[in-house]
Formats: sequence, structure tokens, C-alpha cells
Amino acid sequence: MTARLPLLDRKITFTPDAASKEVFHSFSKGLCPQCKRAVDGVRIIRSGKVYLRKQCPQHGQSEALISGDADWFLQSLTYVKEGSRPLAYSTEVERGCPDDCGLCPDHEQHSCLPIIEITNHCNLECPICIVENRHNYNMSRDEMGRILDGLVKKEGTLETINLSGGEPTLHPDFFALLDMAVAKREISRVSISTNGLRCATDYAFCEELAKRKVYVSLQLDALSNPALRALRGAGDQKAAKEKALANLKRAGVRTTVVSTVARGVNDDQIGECVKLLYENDFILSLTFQPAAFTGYGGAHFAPHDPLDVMTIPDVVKAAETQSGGLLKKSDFLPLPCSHPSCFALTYLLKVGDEFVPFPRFLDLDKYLELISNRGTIRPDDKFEEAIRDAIDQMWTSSGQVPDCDKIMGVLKQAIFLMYPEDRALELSERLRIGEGMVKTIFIHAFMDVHNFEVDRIKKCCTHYTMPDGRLMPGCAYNNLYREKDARYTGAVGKPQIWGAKE
Amino acid sequence: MAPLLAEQVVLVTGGSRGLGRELCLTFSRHGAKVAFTYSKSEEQARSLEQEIAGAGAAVVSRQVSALDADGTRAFVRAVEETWGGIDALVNNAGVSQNLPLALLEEQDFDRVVDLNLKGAYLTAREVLRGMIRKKRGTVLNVGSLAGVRMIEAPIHYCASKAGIVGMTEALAKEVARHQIRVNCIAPGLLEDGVGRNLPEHRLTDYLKHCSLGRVGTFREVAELAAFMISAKNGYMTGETIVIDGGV
Repeated sequence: MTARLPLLDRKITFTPDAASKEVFHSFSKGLCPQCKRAVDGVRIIRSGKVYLRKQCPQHGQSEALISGDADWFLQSLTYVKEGSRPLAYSTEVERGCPDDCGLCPDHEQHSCLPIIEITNHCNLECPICIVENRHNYNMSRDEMGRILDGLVKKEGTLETINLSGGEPTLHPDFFALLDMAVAKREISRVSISTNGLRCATDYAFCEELAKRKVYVSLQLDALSNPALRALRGAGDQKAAKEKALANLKRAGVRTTVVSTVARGVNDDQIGECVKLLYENDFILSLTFQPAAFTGYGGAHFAPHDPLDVMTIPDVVKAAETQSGGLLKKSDFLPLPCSHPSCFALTYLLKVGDEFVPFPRFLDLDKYLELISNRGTIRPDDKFEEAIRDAIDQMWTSSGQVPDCDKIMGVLKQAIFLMYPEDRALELSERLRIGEGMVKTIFIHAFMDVHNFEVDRIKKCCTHYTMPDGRLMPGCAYNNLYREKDARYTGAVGKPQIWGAKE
Repeated sequence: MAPLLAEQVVLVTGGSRGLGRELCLTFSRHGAKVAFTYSKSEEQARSLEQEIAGAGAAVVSRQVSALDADGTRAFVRAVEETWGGIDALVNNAGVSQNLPLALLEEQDFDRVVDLNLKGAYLTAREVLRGMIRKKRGTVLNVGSLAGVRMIEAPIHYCASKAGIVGMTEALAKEVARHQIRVNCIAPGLLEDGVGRNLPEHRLTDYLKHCSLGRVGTFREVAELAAFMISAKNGYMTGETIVIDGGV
């Protein structure tokens, strides 16, 4: 529930409450959860946590938790790095952030991960859904073509793009749109975000994905039905997810597991997801998304108290306590190129049957440089230098790095595999070998009207792509623009099923 | 003015005889603490130790082959623990055989290449661990004119010394990011050096093509080596300096 207090004088409102042992940290700008207008706010530290307190001239004061660990929050601010600007913008600065999105020249980061929503049809009605599926829109090939061209114009080359929805696999022209993206030479990887229902029931579909070397981001919040039903609605979701995993594994589809984590619902199953990542070679990464309460479903999701939600350090803490010592808090760092409250991650090197987090054998400065402007590892000069430094550091450390002999053995094996004596490999083959040796755990915190902050949205690199050429920072679009998107404003339609005849 | 190698810790392989002995003496004269290895010449090693210590300089030595990786590691650690690290390594240990191709058996080839090239690699690898940790240091490899010019010399010796030049360049490139320099000196014929058993006509031929008209001395090469490993030579790496009287 949003805490609403009477209107107060601004000077009084922003003064920390000494009786509650509050400490003022900094000024901020957020959204009024009632009218969604941008309003002034402050960050307050209280009881080891960080809160955003806002004052709307019309609707009064509101407060939301923005970090469950004040130490993590303060430390994360030291990792901030200047962003990379896009090659072109689509809007002008007129009203000020967040009301000029598209991107405007005031935006501080390019698109690391553009999301193309190709449909708003979906065959689930997830209570936690962050979008608003009205079942009345399928992207045309013409729109897709314009979006892809626009992305290349703005970015030059792209590491990854994501096709999403709705449920993208429901699009009647799904493979045609997918092939358009795969065919773009400027785009290295294409991923699709899916609830997995089609993967679970249509093995040939998984084979087609594997043939196209597409990555699947499989929504999988937990491995038990009570939690899955709370988040994803009725039905035997567990069985569906297990079938999807089995088919993706059999087809050899490179998979990311995406888990939305809601306080009191599935925050006790983070360790299970980590275990799934560790035990399956075809699962390359795991993304935890602390639940954001936006969209048709999310805005009405219960239980939800803005003062008691999951934040990045809460996921990190849960990962530490639930993984049986496999992961530690110090293994995770904020992604320097994004806002530190939006992204954290750790890379894991496969050493035999175990995984060793990179920060345990890489010098922190080098590691930060390595992850400075990317969410995924590329075998470029910076990566090579970081690995060489790690090797030298371990070699000269006289056993200070635990398991350094094993780690060095793995790195040597990686070199032999990627650069065999008898033939030259294509870069894509080398990347694939690397993917088999390194896994990633991301924590990506989306914002809702309660914890939205303007400085975070200005640094956003996860952008929804519009057919008119605009790129909408994800949380700005979900909270402020999606409901006005002309594509979705018609009457709510009937959900479509793939393969069904009209 | 401080001596050229004041307080520097220098490890010389094959230090008890020939050029190696002169290298140790010269370095200690320039203020270095000298550690050296030797493979056979126990008596000469003791004599050298006494000479250096008698002049008031610090010296340690151990009988260990350049091909004995474990022994080399143990000696390097001992020197590092005693003197706090090694500032310069001079890979001097080496052998030669005057064998024409027809008489050069596989085991002859392996022995010379192993001692001259692999031995330098093994020692450098051990010493560089500490240098990389400290982000400073220098390695000087002793090559030969026979490794850089087309002259009449045994092919296994020439191959090993040419290998030293290649290793110098590659190693210099690899460890430059740690501020470690790696260089090579390539002497021509020296008094009492590996060419001492050369047939007379080959010596005559050498002198005919040598601008200075004489063979070099160990001292001349050792003085160059002292400069090469000194801080005065801070901007040179990956180089092979030929010292041959102008052949």
C-alpha cells in the first residue's frame, strides 16, 4: 500500500525524522503514485535501508523502499561510469525528463538491450505482468523493418536485441519477423522473451530456434506451483516450465532463465534457480528481476507494500544464504554503465563441476573495466587483457587465490579450445565455446511508480523500440507511455493461439 | 655518485666460469648483490665467491643446472627471501659443440638447444614471477653473433641463439605491461669463449671481417651487460645489441 500522509510544507517534509534516526542522503525526483507527475523527493537512510520520500503538491507525501541495504547502496555509487551516447536521437528536450522520451539528448546511455514488442497477445494472464496485454496488436513486417533499420542507424552495431510481447511466439508471422532480425549483420545476437508454453508443447519450434541460433529468455520464477500460480496465474505452470526446459535442452537452445522475485512469494526460491543454472549447460545465464508493480497485472498485484519490496541487495543476500556458500555478497557488483540501482551481476567461470565467480580471481579494477559497458562478455582486447592480468596475478600470488591452479588449468584449456593447433575457428564458434565456460547471474531492477527515479531512467539502457523510430527507456515506457501507445488503444481483443485457424 | 648497480640484486646463470664469471665480478664491482648458479665447477664457484666477498660485496651461489626447474625455483625463492627480490636476471648459461651437420646427432641437437634456450626460458619463468609481482625488473639474455648473422657455426648452436633473440622479443612484449624490460646481447668471438676451440682458419676468417681486427674481451661484454641491466637503460626493451668489433 502506498503510504499517504497529509500535505506538508516542503521544508518540513524533506527534513529527516530525527526520532526515527533517519539520515538525509540526497535529493531525487520521482513520480507521484497517484497522478504519476514528476515530483521532488529525497533519499533517506533509515534502519540500514534507503527510502525515497516524495512530495506531490496535489496528493501529498509518499514513500518507497529503494534499497534493502544502505551499505550496498552507498558502495554502489562508487561504481558509476559515464554512459555511451547513441549516434542519433529522436526527440528534443522540451518538458524535461521523463516527459521527452524517445531518446532525447538529455538521455545519458545508448541502447544496450533494445526490446521489440512484436505483439500484445498473450496466452497467460499473469498477476505480476508488468505490461498491459490487450490482445489487439501484431507487428507488421514493415514496422519490424523500420525498427531494425532505426536501431542500426542509432547504434551502428548491436550486441543483442530482444523480441518480446505479449508472448512473441504467438505472433502469426513470428519466424518471418525473427528471420528479419537474425539476418541483420549489425546485430550479433537475437533473443526472445517467452513464457515457455510454446516451447513446452512444440518441440519442432525449439529446433527452429536452435537452427537460427536464437537465445531464449525463459520466464521461470520458481519451480513450485504455489509460487508460480501467485505470479503467473492458474494451471500447472510447474509442469509447463519443466517441459519447456526439457525441450530447450534437447534442442540445444541457448537459454536464459528469467525469474521475477516478489517479496513473500518466491524470494525463498532464489537458491533453486541458481542450482538450475549450475546444473544445466544449456542455461547460460540467470536473470533475477525484483518485482516491479506496473502494467495491468502488476499494479494490482498483492501482496505489495512499497516499503517492503525486493531490491537488488535483497536478491544478493538471498542468493548468498540460499546457495549453500556457492555465492557471496562480494561476488556481485553493480554494472557500472547502467545506474547502480538498476543492474548488478556476477560472471562465473566453470571449473570442473564448480563455478568460480570472477571477482574471486580477477583484480577488482580490471573486473570493473571488463564489465564497464556491457552486460555480456566479448572476447575483445579488454577481455584478453583482463584475463592475462588474472593469470599473471594468480601465477604470482603464491596461492593467495583459492583454487588458482584449477582456474589456471581451465583458462589454459579455454585457450586450447578456442585456438586449436589444427584449424582456425570462426569468431562465433569461439563465442560459443566461451559461453560454455562462463555463466552469468544478472539482477535487473525495473521501476514502478513508487520507486521510479529520474536519475535512474536517464541512465537506462533497456529500451523499447517504437515503429516511429523512438526508443523508450523501459521503465519510463511501462509507467508513463505504454498506456498512451496508439498501437494498443483499440478495444481489447481475443487472445490468439499459434497455429489456430481463423 | 652512486654505483651503476647500487643495491641491485642480480642473478647470473652459469656464473662460475668464462663470461659468466666476469659478469659476476663486474656487476659486484658496480655495487650489485650477486647470486649465481653453476653446473659443474664447484672449485671455481668457491673461488669466485671468495673473490667477490673479499672485495666486500654480497654473493651467494648454488650448484643447479638451468634445466633443473625445481632446483632453479628453490634457488630463486632463496635469493628472493634473503635479499627481498631479484632486480635483474642474466641468462648466461650455455654450451656449444663444433659439430658439422653430418656428425650432429639428435641428442647433440637436443642438448645444446635445451641448455641454451629452454634453460633460459625455465629460469626466466621462475624469476619473472617475482618481478611481475613487484612490477619491475629486467632480464638480459646472452645470445651470440651466430644467432643474428649468417656465419659458419654449428647449426644447433646458431638455432639456439637465434631462438634466444626471438624469445627476447616475445618476452619483452609480454611483460612490458608490468614495466619489465627484456633485452639480449649478441657477442662476437671473445677471448677464451665458446669460440676458443675454433679451427685456426675460422679465427683468421673472423678477424679478416672484423673492423677492429681482434676478438673481444669478457670485460667489454660485461660492462655492456652492466649498462643493459642498469636503471640508466630504462627505455630499451626487446632489443638485441651486437658487440662484435664491427663484423
